[in-house]
Amino acid sequence: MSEKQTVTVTIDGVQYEVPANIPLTRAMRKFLGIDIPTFCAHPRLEPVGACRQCLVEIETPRGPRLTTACTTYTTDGLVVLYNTETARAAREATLEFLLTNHPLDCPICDKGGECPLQDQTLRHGPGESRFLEEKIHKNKRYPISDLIMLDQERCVLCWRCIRYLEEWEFKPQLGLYHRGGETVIDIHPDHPLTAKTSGNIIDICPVGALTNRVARFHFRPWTWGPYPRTLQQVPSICIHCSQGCNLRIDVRTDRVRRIVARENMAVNDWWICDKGRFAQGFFHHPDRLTQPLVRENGELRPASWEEALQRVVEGLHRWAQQDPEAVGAIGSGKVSNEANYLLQKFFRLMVDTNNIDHRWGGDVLADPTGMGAIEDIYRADVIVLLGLDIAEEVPVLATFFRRAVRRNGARAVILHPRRVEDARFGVYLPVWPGGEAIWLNALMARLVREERFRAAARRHAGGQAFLTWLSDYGDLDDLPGVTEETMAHVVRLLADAQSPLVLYGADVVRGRAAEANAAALHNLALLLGEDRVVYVGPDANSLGARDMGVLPAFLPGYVPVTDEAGRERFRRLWGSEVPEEPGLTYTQMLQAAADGQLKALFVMGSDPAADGAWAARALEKLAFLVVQDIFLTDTARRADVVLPATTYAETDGTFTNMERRLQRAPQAFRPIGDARPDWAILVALAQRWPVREAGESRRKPRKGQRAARSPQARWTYTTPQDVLTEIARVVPQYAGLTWDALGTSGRYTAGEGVPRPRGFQQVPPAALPAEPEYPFTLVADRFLYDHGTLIRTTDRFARLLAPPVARMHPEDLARYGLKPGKEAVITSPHGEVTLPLAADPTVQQGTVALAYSLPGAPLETLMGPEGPGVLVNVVQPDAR
Amino acid sequence: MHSPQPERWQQVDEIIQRWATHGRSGLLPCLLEVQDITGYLSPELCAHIARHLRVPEADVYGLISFYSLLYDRPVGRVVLRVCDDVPCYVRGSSELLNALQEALGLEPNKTTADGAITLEVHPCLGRCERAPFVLINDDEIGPARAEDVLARVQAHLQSAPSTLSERAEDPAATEEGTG
Repeated sequence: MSEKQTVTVTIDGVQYEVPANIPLTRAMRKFLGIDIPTFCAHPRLEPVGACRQCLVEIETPRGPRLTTACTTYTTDGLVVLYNTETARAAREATLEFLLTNHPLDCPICDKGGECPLQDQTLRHGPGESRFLEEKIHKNKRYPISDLIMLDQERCVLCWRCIRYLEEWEFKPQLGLYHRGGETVIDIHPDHPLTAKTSGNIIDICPVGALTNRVARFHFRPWTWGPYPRTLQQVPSICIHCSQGCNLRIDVRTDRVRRIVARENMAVNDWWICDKGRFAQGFFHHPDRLTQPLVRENGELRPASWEEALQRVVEGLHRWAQQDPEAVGAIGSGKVSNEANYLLQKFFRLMVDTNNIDHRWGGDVLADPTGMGAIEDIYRADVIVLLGLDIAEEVPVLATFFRRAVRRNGARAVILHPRRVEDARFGVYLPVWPGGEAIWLNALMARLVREERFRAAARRHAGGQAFLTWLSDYGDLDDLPGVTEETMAHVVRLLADAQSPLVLYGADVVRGRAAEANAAALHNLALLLGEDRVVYVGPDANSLGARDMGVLPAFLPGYVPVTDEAGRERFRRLWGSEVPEEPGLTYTQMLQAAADGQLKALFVMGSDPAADGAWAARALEKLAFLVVQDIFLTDTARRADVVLPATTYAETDGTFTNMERRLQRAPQAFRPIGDARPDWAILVALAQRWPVREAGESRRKPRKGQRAARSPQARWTYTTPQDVLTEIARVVPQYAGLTWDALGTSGRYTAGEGVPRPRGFQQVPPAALPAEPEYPFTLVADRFLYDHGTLIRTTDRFARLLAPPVARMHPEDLARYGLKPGKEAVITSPHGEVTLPLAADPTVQQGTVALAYSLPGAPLETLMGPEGPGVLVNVVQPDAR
Repeated sequence: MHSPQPERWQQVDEIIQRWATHGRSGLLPCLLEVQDITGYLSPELCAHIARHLRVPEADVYGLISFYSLLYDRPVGRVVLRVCDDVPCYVRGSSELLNALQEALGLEPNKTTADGAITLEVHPCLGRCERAPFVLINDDEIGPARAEDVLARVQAHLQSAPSTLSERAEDPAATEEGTG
């Protein structure tokens, strides 16, 4: 806005040029380097002038007046008296008053050492207290949620926490209560904080009033001494969702002490979510795997690394010799690019198979174009969320979304099988799982009545034919719950939008309706414009795993394995032949295992057994299963060899977020026990792989030795940076992105060569299935606090995890005579589970909502390999 | 227990409707007017008002805890506020308070078992020139003598309209009546 203009302000007789119309505190701090004390002023919150700590004198026609600098905006000719006796005395008095009732329990306060109250008392305070009376006592160890502790005595009533929850979360769950010296910040009775990013109020609290209940008393911000006794502050990123928020891991004596947000205005502003902040239990959990395990007489027993690695190599090699197509590998969107890259390289070159995929990989028909930039959400005028529960799946992006709606006036359309929390920010339309394409086609059939979209359609291949084809798909009859009126409203919004943005989740483009839905999204992208339709993957490295070619049909950089020229390039780069037949996807591999066609499987950082009973049964059929993970997962329990891997914080690695930004996650502490990083394990395996050309010799070719035809010669990586260097050479989108070039805030990878919509596709969507035996549609819910190992290993989340219940609309419960709170048997063509029922009015009638990753994987069991949109029946044995 | 008074709930509804469009600035007058009818502001009522005025519940509770004239729990039909600030103290407010306590059989800041009378000790009521000063609902007495106060309390008990809070504590009634 007016940030570009500058004005002249006079501070203590000196004239300065500063940007116009910004708070004076910001101008003095950021542009002039004057350390004006503040408590309530925060760069990312609206000024309130509550704490009075920034008092300065402002010249007025009636003489100098004491005013709070944070609520004074820079204007031309503003005359400020900062270092005058009156102003200094006022600031000193404010501090003295703040300290009258402050408990001064700094020695046991988590904030001690990084506390603005301490710092400002030292620099601007009176130096001594005249207060002899009894201090007012308030609640000291007062939990305001399972994650955050409030100490009302330490509070200086700056309202930052209140304002954060109002201005970013739009969930005003904290308030000011009582009056005068007895004023306190409080929740209202029995309503603990539920905001998914509530932990940010700990970071912005300028005193020790709000503390992290997970990290409390586990660190001192100022601990110093030689490594590892000093508190290392490692700039890292979060690996829970695809936003890739920047955070800092504080480590001492090789233990993670706490996690705090790290500013990166392009990615996460100043914020991280509560999962990223508090879920730190998995790093040092006693259940972590610390040594390799091998199966002997049906039992897993500890083994040396050498023995385990030899077993893996022998097992995989035997099957690779018999039939490379009988071997498969599963990577992960939760592990680094380096590990994923080496995994696919190992299996393509050594084993000679393209059976390489990850969960949410080849089965998800999404274009990994990524968001142009996360900030685009602020520039959008219409935001459509399709099958994305933004508050639960990308909580920090959800705060941006809400601000875009409430502050920038963006309009929102929320399409989800369930009335999700953020439905209140716009128009909500129920969409049936598997029926998204029907809805999208109906929308587009109306959109192309506008000349603008007809013109857009004609610009792309197949546009005219598409327009003709589309005219058959305008009916709303197949869309329960959608009226002509609401549809017309959405069409109007999109037709008037200059920069619409559509964000969709993985379940939309997976399963039975995947092809029709993906085609409809393609077509919508061609109509709305480049990068306006964006896939938001479920994992931190959802895009990176794809970029690295952990896909059955693509080599790194999306070179199709069937592409002769592309394979030739990789043959030159890798020095070995690349298999040309597309392999099996994740689901297909599990099905092939169930059929007995897939014999050996290597699983890295993934737990297919948690994909339901059908997947667990498939794993039982395997002749040889290797699992590389940090915990003894259900899959690992079935493995022949278990390799203990490290968390992302125990080695260097890079991740690619939802806007295709490549970011560093550096090593924060030494690997626990005998665990080794994923990349290092793969290198060790490659080096032990029998040399193909030179007979049966297992010797590793020495450096410089001529072994051009044996791929092992190239596995000389000694650090993950070596792998990244190769990635930058091999993957065109990553060209030039070295570890050093990434810095602490990451760099965009290039979008060229990434699959994106080209011409219109005509894939007729199937009608929604209806079977009398199965009257309900199963809805898959994603919750931030699921039961995954990364979160349930932190005890504080115990009461916050998604309840293991099947949720139904209260009217459905009444109509079918089902009782909430009682167990019910839910059946689908793929399996049967028993779960208590719960009434939930946000669930649409005719559907049953179940969360992913519940104990025992009930949702995944019911879904089977079919994916979203499965029909189920619900029976309560003891009901009338 | 009095019989239900749907027309009074309707009055509450009308008050809320009248202030609904004012949002946050309508909150204080709305709470005061509603309390005149209901006697106190129950959690259900607060949630209801917050929803209609589109303000956070936290703000409603914040305001109630800030103003001592607003109550979030039941109080008597007649509220006696005895000032205990310095000028009133000098003119004998503590003796007055003792006398009232004895006569009413009430501890300060307590309500009689029948829910009729609440006795409150208050900081300055702003009538120092009439110390010792007592407020009976809106009725000002000062300089106050215990006999006068007690007589006036009796008069109020006869005339003051019963509040809804004496009748029902049932949240369902609140919902039904105002929803």
